[in-house]
Amino acid sequence: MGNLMIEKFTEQEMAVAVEMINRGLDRAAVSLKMILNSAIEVTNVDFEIAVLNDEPQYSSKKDDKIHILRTELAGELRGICHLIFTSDEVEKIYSKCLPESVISSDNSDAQIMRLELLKEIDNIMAASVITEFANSLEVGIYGNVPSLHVMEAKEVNKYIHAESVTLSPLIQFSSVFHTDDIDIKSDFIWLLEEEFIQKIKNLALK
Amino acid sequence: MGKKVLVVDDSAYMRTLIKDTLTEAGYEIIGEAPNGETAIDLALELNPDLITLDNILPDMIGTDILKVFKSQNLSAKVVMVSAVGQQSVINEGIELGAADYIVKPFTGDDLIDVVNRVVG
Repeated sequence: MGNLMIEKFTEQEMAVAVEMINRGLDRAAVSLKMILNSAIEVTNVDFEIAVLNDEPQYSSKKDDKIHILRTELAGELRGICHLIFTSDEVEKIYSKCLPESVISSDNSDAQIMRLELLKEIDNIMAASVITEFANSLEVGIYGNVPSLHVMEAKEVNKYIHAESVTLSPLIQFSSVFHTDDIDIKSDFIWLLEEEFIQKIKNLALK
Repeated sequence: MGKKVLVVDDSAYMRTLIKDTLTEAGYEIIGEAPNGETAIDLALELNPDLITLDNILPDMIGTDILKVFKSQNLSAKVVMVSAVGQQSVINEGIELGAADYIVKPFTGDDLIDVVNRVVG
């Protein structure tokens, strides 16, 4: 929790922000539980407001094929969310959600189906949080069509940091969605523009 | 023959899910569209009884498509399908003529309930 946050938010405003974010993450957990048919635990929730001069550690995943699903907020407020899986986790999701014929096939239809499943999961999880923000802050926002980016783990922080500077100063929060039965720990990282701060302050006044 | 359905969603995964669910429930899938422009063309050409309409498409949002349907006096019932459960978006869709709304993720039974209620 950085010093800037103390200047930007009172204790009460901070409590309102954390409560809203937790409600959004809980909604996303319910959605993921329904898609994967697995119990989901939201852990490691970290929230801060920062001007990011250094490159923070957004994700600690280690893999040569990290899958980043990116959704940009559209409407009255700007922001970007990233849902991050390793290639091993992606395979587990396929096994849980797709028929064997689609998982094992190399034809283009099967490849599209696998890609679209991941994008749909991201779309639904992002929308769960966005719905909470939209209802709480009384703003018209929605998630645009998501995109998938595959890269080595060492490139991930640089990639997200490059996006964060376009929104700086910003609100950043992250969490880990943990499913026990298929052992997935997806990072869910959000970058929100400063305008959110004023909206949260307005909410705290109500 | 069951009621004719046009499925509109940019995700091939969701289109397949919706098609399989509704086909099994006795509906006839007469077309599918991955974007707004194709959705409008197919809706006017195929004259379906029901359209499942994803609210966020690469080229248009669902409420804009509803405005086109309204201006063309399309008789098809529309069920909005969206990951966003924001009440104001739902209300806007209903005001523009959508018959009902379903929020993702949903079960097959949830979808069939909504569709049966609208055109069953």
